[in-house]
Amino acid sequence: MATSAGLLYSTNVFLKHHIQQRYRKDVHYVWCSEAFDSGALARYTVGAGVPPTSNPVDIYRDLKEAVRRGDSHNAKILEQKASFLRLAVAWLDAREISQDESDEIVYLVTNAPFITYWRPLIYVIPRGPVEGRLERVPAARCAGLGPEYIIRDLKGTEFDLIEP
Amino acid sequence: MLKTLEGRNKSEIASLLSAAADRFLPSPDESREKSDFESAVESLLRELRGKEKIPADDALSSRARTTLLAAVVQELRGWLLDQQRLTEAKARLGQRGELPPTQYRIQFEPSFGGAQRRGITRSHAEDALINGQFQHLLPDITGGGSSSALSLYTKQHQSAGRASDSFVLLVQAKRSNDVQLVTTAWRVYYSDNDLTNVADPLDVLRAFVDRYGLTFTVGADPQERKFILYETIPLPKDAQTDLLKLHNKAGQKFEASNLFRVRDGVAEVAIVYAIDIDRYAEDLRKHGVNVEPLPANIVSVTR
Repeated sequence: MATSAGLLYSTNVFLKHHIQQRYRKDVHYVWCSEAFDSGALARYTVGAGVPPTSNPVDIYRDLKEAVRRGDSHNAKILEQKASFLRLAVAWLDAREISQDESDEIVYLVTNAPFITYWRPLIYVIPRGPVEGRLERVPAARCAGLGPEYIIRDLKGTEFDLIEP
Repeated sequence: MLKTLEGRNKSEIASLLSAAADRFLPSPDESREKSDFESAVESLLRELRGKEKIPADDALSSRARTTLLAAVVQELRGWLLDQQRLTEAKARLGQRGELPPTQYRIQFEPSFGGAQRRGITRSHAEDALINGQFQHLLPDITGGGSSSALSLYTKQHQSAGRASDSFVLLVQAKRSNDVQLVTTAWRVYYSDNDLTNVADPLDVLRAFVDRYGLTFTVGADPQERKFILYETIPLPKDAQTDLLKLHNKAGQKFEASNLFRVRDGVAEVAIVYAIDIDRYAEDLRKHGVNVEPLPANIVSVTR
């Protein structure tokens, strides 16, 4: 199996997609990889170096299992909760959202039911239209050796959602 | 209260806890921005370590890290939203139809009595609201007052006996903040209604009204209709003209669902339809449903 050169993959929870769609004008911040499953790649391809903590399929499996078990102390979900709460404060401080909107984000993050709002979604991103906006994550910040990218302003129309 | 947080205002506490959360989050940036609270964050995390009984020699194993992050999240949640604002946030989300189905409170309007006479219980309706497919509707034209926020729910019921007795239970409700006020419900049988191309609960309602609906006219609009959803219709200048004129035969029973408000010479209609209840009851009885004697007419009207 090879990387699909024209595509990028990112796994995110439904709540993140909802918050960015509803409160960020459908502009999404994503951390993505060239391979959906680096473990399935040939050993010496570059994408094969992405470790489980950054590998989209492993993140997907981890979140899916956490949701199935109702594990609110799953590390990835806790990280997401902390991130959204921190962002609710930061966006409000920057006057990018209102106090009401900040409150609604905090409500959803802390009260949304597990099965529906924390379920993982896979973003499939055609690379061409976003090539100029890809930021390579510095090697020291990557979880492994494979290439990882950030897109800070991915529009809702620039990717497809898959929920296997 | 944690000692580190004492004497600080809410805004400072939120920023401090955010900075603490940031320590646990992956970041693509080479140099993480130093917050104004570096020493306070250190003090806070030490305090939380003690509170969570994380051994001093545990240099943040994954278990310790998770425990500490959970403690930070818990503190953040408590400080960011008090009970009052939490209630208000829930109400706003509910009104817009953005609450998860399980978080709406369910109440029943008197008009639901019509559904009960047709063999639908409150628990049937509650099951559809909690476990069914849902569609929250909001008008594009009226600015979305609370009286015009509608929700439809469907739940499929497969018959263990005759396939022709399988149906979709369709439940109609009005949203009022985080409360769903159930107004009526209908059994929509596959064998009696054309449900081949339905994709959502509104399609089911349209198919049902197409089969059992009576025609009517509204205000000054002469067009005969069976169904209106979110339209603004001019009112007649003649005060004697009926706002809603139903084209039923003399003695023909109906159950109508009308939700509209009148202002500035127009009727802002959320929904209007009227079901030929005798014809519908006749079909229900063919499926073995015990239909209690129906009153003359049931009209659920909100102006």
